[in-house]
Amino acid sequence: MKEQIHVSKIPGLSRVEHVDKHEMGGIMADITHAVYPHDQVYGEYCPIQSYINCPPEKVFEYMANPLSLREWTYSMRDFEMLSDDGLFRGKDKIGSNTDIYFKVVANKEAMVVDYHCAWDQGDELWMIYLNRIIPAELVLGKPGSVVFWQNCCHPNYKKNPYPDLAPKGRPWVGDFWDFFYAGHTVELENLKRILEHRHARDLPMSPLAIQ
Amino acid sequence: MNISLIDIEENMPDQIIGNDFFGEEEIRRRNRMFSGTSERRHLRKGELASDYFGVAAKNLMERLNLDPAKDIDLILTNVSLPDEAFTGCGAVVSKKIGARTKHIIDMHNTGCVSFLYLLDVAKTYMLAKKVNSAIICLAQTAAGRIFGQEDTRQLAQAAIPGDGFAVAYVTSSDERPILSMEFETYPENSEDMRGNTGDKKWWEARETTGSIDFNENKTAMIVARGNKAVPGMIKKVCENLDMKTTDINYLITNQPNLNFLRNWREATQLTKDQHLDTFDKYANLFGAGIPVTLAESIKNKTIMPGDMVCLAGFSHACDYSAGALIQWT
Repeated sequence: MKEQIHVSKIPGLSRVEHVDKHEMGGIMADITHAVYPHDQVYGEYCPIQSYINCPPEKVFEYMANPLSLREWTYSMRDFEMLSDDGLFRGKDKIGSNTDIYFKVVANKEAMVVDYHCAWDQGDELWMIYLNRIIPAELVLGKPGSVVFWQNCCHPNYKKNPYPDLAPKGRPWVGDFWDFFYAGHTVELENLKRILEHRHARDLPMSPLAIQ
Repeated sequence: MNISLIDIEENMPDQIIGNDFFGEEEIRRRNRMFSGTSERRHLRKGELASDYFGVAAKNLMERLNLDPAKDIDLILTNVSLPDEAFTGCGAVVSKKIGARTKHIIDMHNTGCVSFLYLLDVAKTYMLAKKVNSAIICLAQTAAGRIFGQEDTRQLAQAAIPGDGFAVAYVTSSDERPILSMEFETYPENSEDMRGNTGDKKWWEARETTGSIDFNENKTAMIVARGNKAVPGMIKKVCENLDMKTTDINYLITNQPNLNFLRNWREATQLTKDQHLDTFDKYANLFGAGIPVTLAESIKNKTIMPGDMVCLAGFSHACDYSAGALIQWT
């Protein structure tokens, strides 16, 4: 095993030992702009977040249930389970006659709920929606939850890896990457409204079995 | 030597069309891409761009106390839907105003930023010492000619275009200089906006008027292109003069819809009052938008001597973009 080296030997780091606070102030002023172009903020990654007035355990329970996606997403409907390991197929009604395959990968201890999805095929679920639920008491000092939702711009968004499986004339999901911030913001608002509505009225949290 | 924008005159059709003329009211109300206008002007059947140019040019020359026969060396035109398929209308304008210029160019591309591209053509002729003066004629004619027809006015998109005309007089001088110009082309986007005449080409016999189609599958990308390209041009023309965008007194862009107008002034940190437009009353004037708004803003004394005026925009589905800075003296 190779010997560990001290971080001071790694080039390009800004640490107080070598960059004094005046120089650091200049660096930070340079990084801070008044406005940021959309593609600089949402070009490679699409992070959004929201406060939800509903306890984190209830938020987790709802988000980890695959059937909830029929309620709070804009266009995922008509689900059927394909295998015991949780692979589902549904219709993404935003693309005409588009099958969407997905799996929910959740960890209650870490309070993360990830949706692994793909259009047209279920062998490679490369569209991955990463969600972390945090008790709002910890970060905002009030009851409820904060949800962080992240997407990364996988190269497949730029080029459909399975063009032969696409319905004829159907636009590719990645053509809408520039609208992901907007589309996901609308869907996260749906999630917030559903959870807050049910929690405030003490209704069952789980999604309705019928669509 | 510089090129100076001496004066500019707009000429608008008198036929005012309200929103109730168009169909799909519900779609327009719900879809923000198609809303935001109160009215627009339409050419009447048979009216010609060359007539509107002729009247505007005569008014302009009279106001400047100039003689069309002697004081115009170059005529430049851009008409979105031309009067004639083959011949262009520059020579017709020349005939109607009694000019006898050395050069006439009818340019068909660069849509919403054609005023800036034609300014650059005029400047190039002036730098080559081929001409000392020019009129630049901009027309949007597609509103009445296409969307005034019975079979197309039912479309939600029909409410967005409006017709309008403007003629600018430019000279080789330092009187009111254009200080900075920038241009960029994006050939990869050149086929994302097309005429839609069904399964017939526009020159083939058919029963329907047709319409203009943007590639709907690329809406997100076209919005992103416009959001990026226009502030990019504004920043470039400012950087050429070591200016910040906030040093601009007034910005005039093309006016496709309210979202773009909002995004462009946000990106350049200018206020709503500094970003001049005529979208509510004239709708999307395509290539006539920038010069018509400029002409009105000078006439109503919004733009005053000393103001730094930025003109910028993109055309079609973003195949061209351009920017310019003029010191209003």
